[in-house]
Amino acid sequence: MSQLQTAAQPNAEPMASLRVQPAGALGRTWIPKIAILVAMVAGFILANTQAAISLADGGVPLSEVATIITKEGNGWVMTLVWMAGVIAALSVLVFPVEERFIQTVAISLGSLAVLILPIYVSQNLARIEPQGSGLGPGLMGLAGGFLVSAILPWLNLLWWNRMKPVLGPAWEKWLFIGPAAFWILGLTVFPLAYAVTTSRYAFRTGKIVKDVGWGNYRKLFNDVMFEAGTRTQAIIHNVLVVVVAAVVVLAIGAVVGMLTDQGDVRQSVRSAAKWVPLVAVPALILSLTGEPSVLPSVFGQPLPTFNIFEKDVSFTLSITYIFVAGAVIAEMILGFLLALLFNREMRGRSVLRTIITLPIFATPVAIGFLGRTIFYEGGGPVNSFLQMFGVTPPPWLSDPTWARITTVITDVWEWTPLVFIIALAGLQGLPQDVTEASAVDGAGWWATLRFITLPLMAPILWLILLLRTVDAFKVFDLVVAMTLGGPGQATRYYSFFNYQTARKQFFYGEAAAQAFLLLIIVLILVSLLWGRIRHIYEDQEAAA
Amino acid sequence: MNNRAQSTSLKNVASSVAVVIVVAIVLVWTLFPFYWAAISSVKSSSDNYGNLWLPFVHFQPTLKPWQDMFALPEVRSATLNSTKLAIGAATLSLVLGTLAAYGIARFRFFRPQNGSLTTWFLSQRIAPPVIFVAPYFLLMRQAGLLDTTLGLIILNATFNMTFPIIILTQMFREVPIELEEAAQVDGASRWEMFWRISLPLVAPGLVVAWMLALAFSWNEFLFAFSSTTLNRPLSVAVVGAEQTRGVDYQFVGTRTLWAMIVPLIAALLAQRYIVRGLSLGAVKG
Repeated sequence: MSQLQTAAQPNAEPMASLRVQPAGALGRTWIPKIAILVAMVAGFILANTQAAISLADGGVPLSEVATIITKEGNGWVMTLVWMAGVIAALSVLVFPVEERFIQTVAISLGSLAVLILPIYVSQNLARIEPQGSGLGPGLMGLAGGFLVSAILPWLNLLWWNRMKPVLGPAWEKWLFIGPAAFWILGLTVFPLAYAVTTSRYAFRTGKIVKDVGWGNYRKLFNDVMFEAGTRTQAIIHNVLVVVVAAVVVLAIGAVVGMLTDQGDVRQSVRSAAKWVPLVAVPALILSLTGEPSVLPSVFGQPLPTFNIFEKDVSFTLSITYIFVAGAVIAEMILGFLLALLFNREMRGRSVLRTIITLPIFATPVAIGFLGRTIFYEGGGPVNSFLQMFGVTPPPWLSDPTWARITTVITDVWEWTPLVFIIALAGLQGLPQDVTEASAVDGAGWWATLRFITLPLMAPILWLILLLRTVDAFKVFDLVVAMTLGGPGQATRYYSFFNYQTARKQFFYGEAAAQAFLLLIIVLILVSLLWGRIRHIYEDQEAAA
Repeated sequence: MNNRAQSTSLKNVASSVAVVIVVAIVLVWTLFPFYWAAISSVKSSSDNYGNLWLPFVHFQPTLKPWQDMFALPEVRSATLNSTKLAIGAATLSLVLGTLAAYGIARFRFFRPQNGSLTTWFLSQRIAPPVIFVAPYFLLMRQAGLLDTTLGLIILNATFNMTFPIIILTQMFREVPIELEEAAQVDGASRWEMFWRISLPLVAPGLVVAWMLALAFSWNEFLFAFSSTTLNRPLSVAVVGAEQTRGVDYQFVGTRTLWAMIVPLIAALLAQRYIVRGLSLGAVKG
């Protein structure tokens, strides 16, 4: 996503924020940065090339130690360490001079967090490698490098590039934003990083049995795209690897662009595009020669599979798309029409509006539970009502197609009000004089709607579309309570499917890989729609 | 001329009749499930099936289903768990979110800039929560927080922090900066400017953000379902009950109403800034 504001700054800025220029030229700012980065990179390279634990003959490399630690159920150590390293390195690059104090804190905290790995390994040496005589040169090097990178920024702050005040302008702002930022970092970014670690392993009955590398993702792509191992499969597979590599590079470009605020996100994506071949070509080579290799499949052997369900992902994706499209389109049309109807002087409008918003707050799982009795086929209220008029009621929950329609109906009941209240608030915020002027000019209802209201409302409608689409992909509560994914697998939408992979089959590694597919789909949606929405926020900032 | 005026007034009458009809349909559509839950919850088990839609006419209402439900210890403990969970999560997210909102509204961040920070906080609302199920389960197992209300408080506070951040960033911006500057001249510290001057002025926003977070924490199901077995909150207790009993109207009615009542009351009380919270701050309603 992009920055919400580009042009305007927050108006309120009581603390004077002079742009502090460092004493010397470019070198003075860059030499410490490069020195810190060199220390980090040296530690990283040593850790990955030298033995992590030394034995009498040779040593144990880091990758094996990582697998052992993760298998023990302490995968958080590895995740925390690599995440802290990345954060420390990013802090070197991201923060500008004005934020030098928080930069120093972030770099040294991140670097110190990396030291957890050598400490953890030396504390638990007997468990990890009973024959080990001590930390090997790899982990010692890691500790040394990051110890240096923890100390260097303080030297820079207090001596080499000292400035007054040491804390920088308006440093209190970090006390306000710090707790929430730290909280989010720990509870969403860290779990996602942990999911990346998890997705590298095959689980059986909730325990790690094997490091499968990218196997879980390969399996996912096979599930999504193909029926069985064929030549076409292998070719498309390799193309997909390249595409995914490209998308990942572009996504990283967008994130870096956001962090460094280089104007438009599109621009930063575009500038990231030139790195795509650099990553995609090695990815292609690796995917052709990697392990498990896809080359055998070219000669007719199927790819290795880990999942007991075949082709599940493609099926569940297709029904999820159907559900999302059906529900969101119906909700958008109904909600907007209703908002148009209510956008006039009428008695008791606020009471009606309040009543209509109630479904948003009705516990979704309770609504699903209730829906089961309302659509009950052996004499539920809907069927009784239809039979009064001589209509044969459809098999609401026992037929695959009708079960999907019923879940869509229930979702429409619950979320049309959301479209309605946001659209109504948007309509009421439109400049009255424009619509009145068009009415005076003799424009009919349709012409006013088509040429005045819709263009003015477009950003808000796009925003509602985004919110609803993203939320519709999350559908879970409703399905669990109403159909439990049934009949058969007819309503096993993606979230529920993903949940079952994790918590019913206990394939946590595959579940993590599947979850990233959902995240990618949602991110693509967001990036497609964000460009149409962002100026709502920009206008707000400009007005503020 | 007269004719035309007549036709216009006829048209007006026709359109208001149409509006009344549409409004009636919308009301029936919206309220029927609540009505159905309410009448189901006062039926005796012999009135389970058939066209029994009007209490006193079609069947004699009884409070026995409610008494039966409250007699169950698991319903009482689930209610207690949900209360603790929702209040804890709403309060925690309000404290963290208010501080962050003040920081974003009142200070300039150079890089990442204020807008990027806001986006970062908003992205919690966009990410599908199911992607966190596997890592949260494994991490909470390692931390010993599985099946505890504390664990759920932490998770819900994370995902509902967007409400206070969205609502309060805008409200802090609307507080005139001159008020704080005057206090600063009088020697107030940063914290006093926040605590004494701005915070009281955004009090309505605090209440609404708290209630939104409360309602959505109360309604949360995915994490509660995937990580609790003994300490179940009400949302999970509803489904758990269903799996043992099948379709049983009064049973469903009491439980769904009991599960929904708190968020519905919150919705009635928190109407004022509700659109702001739900539209990620894009529309000020």
